[in-house]
Amino acid sequence: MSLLEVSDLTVSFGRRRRVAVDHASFSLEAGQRLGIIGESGSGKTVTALSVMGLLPETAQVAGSVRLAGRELVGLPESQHARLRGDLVSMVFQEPMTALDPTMQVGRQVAEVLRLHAPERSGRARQHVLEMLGRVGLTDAERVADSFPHQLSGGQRQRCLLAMALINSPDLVICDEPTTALDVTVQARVLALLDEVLSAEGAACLFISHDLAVVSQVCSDVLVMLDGDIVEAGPVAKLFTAPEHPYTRGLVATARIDQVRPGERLPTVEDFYPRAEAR
Amino acid sequence: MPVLAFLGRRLAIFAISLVGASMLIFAVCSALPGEVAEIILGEGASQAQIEALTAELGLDRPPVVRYLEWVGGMLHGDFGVSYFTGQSVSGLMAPRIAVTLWLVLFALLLSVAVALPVGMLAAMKRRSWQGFAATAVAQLGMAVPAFWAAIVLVLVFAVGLRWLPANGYIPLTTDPVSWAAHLVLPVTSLAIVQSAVLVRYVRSAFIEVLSEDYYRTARAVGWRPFPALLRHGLRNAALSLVTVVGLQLASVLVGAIVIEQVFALPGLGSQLLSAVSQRDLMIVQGVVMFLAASVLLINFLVDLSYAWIDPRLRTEAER
Repeated sequence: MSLLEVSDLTVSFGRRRRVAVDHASFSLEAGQRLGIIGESGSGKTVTALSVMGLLPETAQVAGSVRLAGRELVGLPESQHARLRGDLVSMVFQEPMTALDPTMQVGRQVAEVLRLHAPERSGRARQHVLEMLGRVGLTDAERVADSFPHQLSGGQRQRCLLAMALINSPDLVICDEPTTALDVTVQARVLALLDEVLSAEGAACLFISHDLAVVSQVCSDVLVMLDGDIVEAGPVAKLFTAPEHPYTRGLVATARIDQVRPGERLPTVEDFYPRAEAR
Repeated sequence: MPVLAFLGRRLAIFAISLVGASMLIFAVCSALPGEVAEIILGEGASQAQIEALTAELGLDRPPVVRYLEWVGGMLHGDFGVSYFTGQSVSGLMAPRIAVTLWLVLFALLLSVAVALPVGMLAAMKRRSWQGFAATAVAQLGMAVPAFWAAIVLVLVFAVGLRWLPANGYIPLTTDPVSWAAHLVLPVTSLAIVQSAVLVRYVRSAFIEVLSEDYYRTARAVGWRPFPALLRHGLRNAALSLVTVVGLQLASVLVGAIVIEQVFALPGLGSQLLSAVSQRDLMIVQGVVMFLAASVLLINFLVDLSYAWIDPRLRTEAER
């Protein structure tokens, strides 16, 4: 049995039922890292939020999402909340605003522990410091006692990672976790993510619009376009033999090192002319 | 230390506003037409009598001198003496301050206690009938004048059901139970409008919180919607809400004047009204100054509370 099995997932919004994800099916094994790549509005974040059960009220969900054998579509909020932060956790894009500005980050991390593992909360502080150390925050004591505004973007993203990992979830969903960071910080956070995911043995659903970033973390990748999964397979195969024209465009734009000087940079539209197609 | 600088700035604003308010109040009271002595002596008084009384009351001296004397006295707790009875204004005000204080304090507390849960519900359920109902009831509450609410409450609970006294006031030290019973209806009538207004602010403050990334994070780590809002939204929403509550104080005080009249409460409001009708300007000046100072003080405290609520203000120095 796969850890995560998504079959025929369809999500639509509002009264006019605008479809954001259209009959998507994929699965994820324990410890596997799967990237979802696509542009804004392709349905990748909506897919992730359906697993988390955090879609807005206006969303209508059909199909099936099974996590560790448990059906999540139609699961009551009280039961879904118990899984979040424990069995499955999520790291979001905006580290600058994702932490409560009025609370020390140490307390925010400790809270996740108390919510799901009250038996470990007696030594919460120690667990928190340990976890902060594991995500590469060297002065964990000082960070734990800091408010978010006293930390850098990279430090905040590490704190969010600590919150996501402290209960050793089976699945960590990362939604563009490094997009808002400086490029140098981005590389370090990605390396760290790779390292802690391996150490924890957690599976990962990694959402990005950047094929280069996905290839650093994931072994497999899904390409989403307008709510459809247009291509899926190992990252290496996608790079060497992309099938869908949109994927070929993505690969070309990710390999600007192969562009000869003076030549125009490739765009996805060179391969998949969407505007004309419609 | 940015916190000290912040406090210093707020304290300066508080002091300047106090001086400004006192000048304005004094100027308005002095500019009112009609000689005080003439009013006291009545229509038959001769010019000589009026001049003699004006001199006796010290009203022939230049306004600046009288202003400084008035302000100087207030710094020592002396609000001057009534032109009519010769009694000390502070002595007249003292027993009435408690009445108004209880009325305003409980009305504010009650409106916050009602508006907070209702506003949060209205924000969370804004797309369903519960949220719509909460907003509609708040809209209705805003349209109800406090005096009308008071009359209806009296008719129902005092005249009809005979559960509560219709008017009057018993000091807390005399009989605590009776004191509380006499305050229930006035406090409720004053709080209805205030809580209705506050519900709208609470609702919009929490709707903002619901769209914040930290709320989504709280949900993602396993908080259910309402606890997430309480745990991580309350403090953030409080930043804008304390401002509103501070500003509401002024309208609660105005409302209290009316409500004291309806319930025959011997508070500052009824004293102010009777002093105005008697043209006892020393009392008017004193009461208005006291009310203005209270509003300014509360708003100063609201400013201070930002530093307590928002760590960004407290800890900026360590950055």
